[in-house]
Amino acid sequence: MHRIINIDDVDSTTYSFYYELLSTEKRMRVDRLRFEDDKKRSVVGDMLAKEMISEYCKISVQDIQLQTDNNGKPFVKDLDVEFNISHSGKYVICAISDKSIGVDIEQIREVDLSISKKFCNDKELRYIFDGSISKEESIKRFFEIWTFKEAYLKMLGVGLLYLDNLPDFFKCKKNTINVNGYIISIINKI
Amino acid sequence: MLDRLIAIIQDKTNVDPSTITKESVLLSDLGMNSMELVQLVCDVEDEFDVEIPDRTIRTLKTVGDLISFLEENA
Repeated sequence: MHRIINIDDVDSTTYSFYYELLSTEKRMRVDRLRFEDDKKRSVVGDMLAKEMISEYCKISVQDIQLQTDNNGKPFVKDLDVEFNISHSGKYVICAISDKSIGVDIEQIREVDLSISKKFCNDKELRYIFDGSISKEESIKRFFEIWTFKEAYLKMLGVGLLYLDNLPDFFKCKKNTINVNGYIISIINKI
Repeated sequence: MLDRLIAIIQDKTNVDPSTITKESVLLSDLGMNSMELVQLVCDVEDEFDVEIPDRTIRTLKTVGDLISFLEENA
């Protein structure tokens, strides 16, 4: 199960409520961010996770403590539920499951395609740099592969940037969605 | 070296540049996402004419880790 929200659709009262619910450490990290949208994405990510966990586990949002392990994988203390959050542009997505889950959302935008050499194998590079497609299509394919790998690593919880041990885009089952200029990948442990 | 590195990092992060220190954690403290980190690695490789091996990238948690790598390899 997943849910997506536009950060501009969250009213100030709701935002303040969830800001106050942040842990001291998380609030300090949010306060250090320079741009308002970055703060919003961070707070709304927690909001979405707490609301979904609250519905899933039938407990109050005030009783949910979100934490992250040493690899940065988020978890919720004392509850048997897995969740993952991602944000890009104006959107935040949260996915929840009884098994490990990873999610990534990216706004399709101008990007330095040359960085794909850092995370793609030869076949994936040929897919992105296919001479018969437009640059727009190359960028879309770049984000398909990126979000798939990011979601996969987030599902594993091994930490980001395991660049020497990435899954093959063409050999794995994936759930990749293209919606309103965004690419979303959700990977659930089988 | 620190100034050149901070200039590259500044370009990719949304925190106040004056708060960037050697102890800053790239992902959490500087609010970088993993794509910005991969872009940072590529830019650092170009700027300092060095190759950062894939296995090393995941060990670079802080600005100080990146400086230590460059001091040893660039």
